[in-house]
Amino acid sequence: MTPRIDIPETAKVGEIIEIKTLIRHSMLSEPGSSEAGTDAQDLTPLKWFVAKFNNEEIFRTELTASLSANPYISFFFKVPGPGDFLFLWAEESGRAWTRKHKLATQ
Amino acid sequence: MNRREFGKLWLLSLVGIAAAWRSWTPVARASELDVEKHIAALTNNRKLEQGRVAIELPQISRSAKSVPFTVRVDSPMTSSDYVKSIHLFAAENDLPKVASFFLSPKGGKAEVSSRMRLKKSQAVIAVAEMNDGTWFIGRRTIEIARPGFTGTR
Repeated sequence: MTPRIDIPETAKVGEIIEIKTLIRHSMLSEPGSSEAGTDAQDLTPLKWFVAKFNNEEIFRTELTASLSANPYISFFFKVPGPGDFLFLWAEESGRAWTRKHKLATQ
Repeated sequence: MNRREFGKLWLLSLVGIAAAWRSWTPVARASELDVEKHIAALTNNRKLEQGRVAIELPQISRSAKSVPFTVRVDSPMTSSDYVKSIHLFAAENDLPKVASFFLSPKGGKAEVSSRMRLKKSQAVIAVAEMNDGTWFIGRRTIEIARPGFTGTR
């Protein structure tokens, strides 16, 4: 279950880029209540999505089961220079998934 | 009773009817009061100002399971003037709190998008906290063409 991200590979310093993310997750808390196309063993909805750039937090979302299955989150980031993104999705249970992305600047 | 007195009496009775009507109709629905409580706890009972918060939704959504939304807050997003957080509520959902987004001036733009479940047609409410401690509220109604089971408990 690799989360999907859609971010440019390169950007200009000072440019505001959109960061789009999606993770396959039922967002439901009952076993057997999964919808088609989601992971059946998800038992607790995702609680946190955290985005970091060069180890500094830039954005965070607290999710609830009122968000749709396979939660999609998009937000913006003003590029300060080249660096590394780290994205983390975590359930309250402690289960978590991460994705990394390298950003170069022109 | 002359004409003038009659006019006064008529006006008074109108005021009376209006007052009676107001006390008789519930001011807000129970579910909206629930959201108001959520927001009061969040804001520490601060006054909510109108404007600056825009919620973008389809006018009518066919699906109750996945309704796309965008919340945009009018802010320069500089280190001295930025949006700290955005909180979204759907009063008619079993779980009225939809999501909270925590922003920083590093974002450059106060705009977030996602998808939510909406049990039925309703008003969606977003509140935003500015770095100076002020709060703004925005509201938008939406029709759900096929209400019903959304998957939330």
